[in-house]
Amino acid sequence: MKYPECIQCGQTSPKWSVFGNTLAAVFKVVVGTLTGSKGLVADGVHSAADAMSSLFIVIALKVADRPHDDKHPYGYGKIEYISTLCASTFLFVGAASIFFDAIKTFKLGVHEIPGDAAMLATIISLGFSYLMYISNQCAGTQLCSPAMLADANESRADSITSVAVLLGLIGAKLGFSNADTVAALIVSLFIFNMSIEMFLQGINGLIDMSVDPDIMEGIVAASLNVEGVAGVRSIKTRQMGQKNWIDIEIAVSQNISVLEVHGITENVREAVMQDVDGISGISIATYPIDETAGGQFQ
Amino acid sequence: MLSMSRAALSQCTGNDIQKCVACEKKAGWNAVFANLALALFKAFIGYISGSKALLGDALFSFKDFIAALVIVVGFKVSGKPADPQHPYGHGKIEFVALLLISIGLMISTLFLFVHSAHSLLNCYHGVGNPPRLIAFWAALISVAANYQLSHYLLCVGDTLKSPSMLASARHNHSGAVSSIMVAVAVLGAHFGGFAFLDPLVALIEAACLISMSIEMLKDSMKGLFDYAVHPEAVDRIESVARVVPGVHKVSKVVARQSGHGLWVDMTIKVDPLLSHQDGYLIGQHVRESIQAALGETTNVNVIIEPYQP
Repeated sequence: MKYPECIQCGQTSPKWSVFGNTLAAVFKVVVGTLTGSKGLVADGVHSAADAMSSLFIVIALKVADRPHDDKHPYGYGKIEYISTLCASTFLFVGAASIFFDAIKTFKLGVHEIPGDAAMLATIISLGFSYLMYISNQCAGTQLCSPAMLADANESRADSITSVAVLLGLIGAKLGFSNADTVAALIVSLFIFNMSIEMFLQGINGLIDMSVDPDIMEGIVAASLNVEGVAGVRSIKTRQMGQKNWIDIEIAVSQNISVLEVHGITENVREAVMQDVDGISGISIATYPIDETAGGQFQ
Repeated sequence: MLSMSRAALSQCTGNDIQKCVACEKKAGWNAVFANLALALFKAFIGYISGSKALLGDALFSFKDFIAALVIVVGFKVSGKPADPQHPYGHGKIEFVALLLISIGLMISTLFLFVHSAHSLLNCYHGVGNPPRLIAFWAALISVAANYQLSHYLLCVGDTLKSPSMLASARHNHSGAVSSIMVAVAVLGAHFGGFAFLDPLVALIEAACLISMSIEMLKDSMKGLFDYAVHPEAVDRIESVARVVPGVHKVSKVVARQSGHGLWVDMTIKVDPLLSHQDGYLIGQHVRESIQAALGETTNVNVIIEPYQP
């Protein structure tokens, strides 16, 4: 986390994207109906779906924030991955509808000449979704939140779609009547790819994937710095949404008392919690070694 | 399919259990193919005969097919050993599969629901068509096949003490009941002139399917959220650990399920003046006695803390 304001930003950013998407949906449907642009109306329906998906992410973030309880001893962080799965499904369906629409237009060869109003609306909505993307991407990266990053990805897909629509409109003005259809096809393939990536990310989070090797190295280094720790025998990590769960086994001399060993593990806990960000819980087991015999572990 | 099942059945009722271990895998695949065949058959006949109830019944068999497939394939995938990227193994894949299946089932049931509600409304306005009689015969075949299959799986499950096989047997048993309902509805609609019976049965089936998929969704969510396992299991772990010599107190027991494995995180309190070596041995003893009591698939992480009264 770069700044303390990031937490604040992480709370407001997803709410803004619900608001922004709702506004964009209303705006696009109204302008599309007034100017008679079917593409813009369809885009508006897409934005409405985005608003719903963003709302779901806001709810998921609320649930993920809940502290752990007796029934959920490891907390609720995993819900973020489930919201990622949902968002990826929304994207997939959106991409499929764009794809089949484009195919249909290719076959029928119907081309409406869109008005300038449609172009203006597309530029405005492009700005909107790009802002939402930047904001969610920043907050999601700083807080390591998979749900916010999923939200950001959705806004990114929206801005790419808007760029394609814009290029298509410009192409149509210049006389390339198929430009918008080709643009839509390319965009849909791009979004397909994105949704599958997000889907795999969600699945990976749900099946107890380990954290980045860098973070693990940080944890090992922090615990080796503590006095009395002779080595780290094993480390297991799993991602729990914004935070991670750590199981670590350290080697400590076999000759000191259990009380002293406990003091060392408490020091390790403190050191790791201080040095490494985003840890929801750490469980430290100890392994006795004979230091006089030179028993070192790595 | 049926004759194949029957042949395997006669194998399993024999005394030779050794033969049956190979048969468990075969029984799993038999359940997969039999259910898939039933689902496709009923979907086809349901479509050409116009029977909504039979279409719903096909969805039932399709659910059984997927469930059987998860047992056979999921077992393989979730049994993969732990690797650096998945230090806790791959057991959770089963819960993810369950989550995706339950969502898919919900969506397809929703379609069935809308479809049959629509034709029930048509019947109310007197424009509904009774399904063709072929649906009745298809339903009868499905009753017999489901019944056979459940009998066969019950035998295999009983012999091998496999809970997943027994669950499959129950699935197919409820499938047989559902098909009986369909047969009665088609007969009533065709000869009794009660055209509304067919969509009505389809609606009832949709309601059952929805409640089943919600159960599945809940189960998968529990697994994915590391829901605390049954209090009885935790009590059992605690009582086993407490009687190990040297354990003064069991202060924390948390257990989570991952596929077929259980991961236990626990803290025991021992004499603070004991040497680290001795404390560790007590912990080992606790781990071994828990694994002896709950099975080898249990992973136990014992933290030793000094006992301070």
